[in-house]
Amino acid sequence: MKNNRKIPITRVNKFFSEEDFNLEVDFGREWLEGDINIKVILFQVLQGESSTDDIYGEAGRNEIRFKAPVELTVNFQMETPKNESWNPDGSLRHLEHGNLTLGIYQSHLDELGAEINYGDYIGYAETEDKMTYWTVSNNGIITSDNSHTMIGYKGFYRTVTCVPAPEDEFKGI
Amino acid sequence: MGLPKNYRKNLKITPTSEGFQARQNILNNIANPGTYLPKSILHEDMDRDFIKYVEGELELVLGGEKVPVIFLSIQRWAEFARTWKFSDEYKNITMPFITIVRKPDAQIGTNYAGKFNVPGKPTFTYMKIPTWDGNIKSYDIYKIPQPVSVDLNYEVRLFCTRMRDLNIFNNSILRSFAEGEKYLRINGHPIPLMLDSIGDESVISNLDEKKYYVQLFTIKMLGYLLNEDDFEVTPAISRGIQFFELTEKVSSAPYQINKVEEEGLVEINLTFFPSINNSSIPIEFNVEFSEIITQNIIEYEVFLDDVLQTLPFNSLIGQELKINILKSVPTSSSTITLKGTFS
Repeated sequence: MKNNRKIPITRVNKFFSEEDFNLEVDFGREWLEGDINIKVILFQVLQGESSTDDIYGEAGRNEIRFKAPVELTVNFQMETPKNESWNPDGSLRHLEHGNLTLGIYQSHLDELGAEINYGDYIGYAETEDKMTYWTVSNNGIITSDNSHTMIGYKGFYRTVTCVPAPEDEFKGI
Repeated sequence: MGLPKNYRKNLKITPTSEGFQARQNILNNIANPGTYLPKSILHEDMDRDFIKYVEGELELVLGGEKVPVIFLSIQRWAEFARTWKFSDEYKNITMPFITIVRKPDAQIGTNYAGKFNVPGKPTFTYMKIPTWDGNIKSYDIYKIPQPVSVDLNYEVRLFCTRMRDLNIFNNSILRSFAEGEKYLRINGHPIPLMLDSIGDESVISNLDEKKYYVQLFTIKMLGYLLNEDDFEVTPAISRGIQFFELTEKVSSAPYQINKVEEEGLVEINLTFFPSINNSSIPIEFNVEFSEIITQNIIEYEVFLDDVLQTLPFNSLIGQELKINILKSVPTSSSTITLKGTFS
């Protein structure tokens, strides 16, 4: 629960501090944004403004409203495309994009004033003229586990998983 | 001092309808005011009113706060749109809450107890509405098809952390279904709900997990579908015209041949019924006709093989005797008798 009182973090303070933490984050971001520089586009859905039907709360392809798209620099992993069939008997084959796993620095999101919610959309430019969309299935908002902290000091990045968005669900840009 | 026995404390001041009037009231509720047709009822209508039923009649208030009821579909952001008001800083919905899931597989309905239905989707007269176009008074016939029955299965789950909260909701459900079924008025149509089962999906046995109660109520709606696109409004027959056509060739005059062979006499009697004025007879023997007696006949003509004859005349075997008459009273029968001798 959020608390107005500030609690000093004294964990591992014998050899680690807030300055060290920020420095390590800066190193990491320099590598991610300066060297790797893989970008995705975040579409934050405006739940209150998207026109939905009263009963099911569903919106059509052109009815989803979102904030101004935000470009995020991420640690990008896409799974192998899935070779599947629509029918259980194996007929009507289709090749589906694999899920996305994105590593995003929390400080990057804070600077952009962006938040990733369950159901937001992620666009990835596969080629110069083709944008593909995923929808967020886990926004990774809890970052206090071991792997998301820097030697147990504080969480500093999120792991966001996304699944392919059906083409008739989201139009994008 | 106690109340005397047989003292009624609750008096019904407002009379309630019974019998035919009660049935008529149900029909009036189904009818859409101003259209003379029933309101249509589709899946969305049944889902909407089921949610209202859970939110309203089964309303659960705990600690002065209404427990949110969330109807879920598969769009992820829509799920978040429904739950963010009740979520914590990690965007997780906080307990207690109630969810409704409608199973996507709407089944063939059992509203008609599984009986076969009228084939061909015919429409049936629902109402006759008088019309007047300034000249002709007529009717419009409003016809509707037989509704298509459908069963919708809902799963209502209460997520909470206290047994006493479970008890309150369980009590509401059991009271609602105390009669065995619960009727919803969906667009005026009475639709029954059946409580199929009460299940328990509580996560309480694993020591290494968060513990909470989940009580599952499986409710079946025995609904039906009535689509207003299938309604028909057709003008009734307003004016009928009957045509009669009469022909003189429809039948011939019956005849009778009387022979007295010892005396060599022969007599042919023909009866011309109303509307019959001519007839023809094949001649089967050689006769010399010498006398003709008529009744209700002004004029007549006798032909043998289309040759006009006058008395006396001879006929031969194989010839055709044709007689045309003109009746004095056309609506009555006439008779003509030809008398002769064998030749």
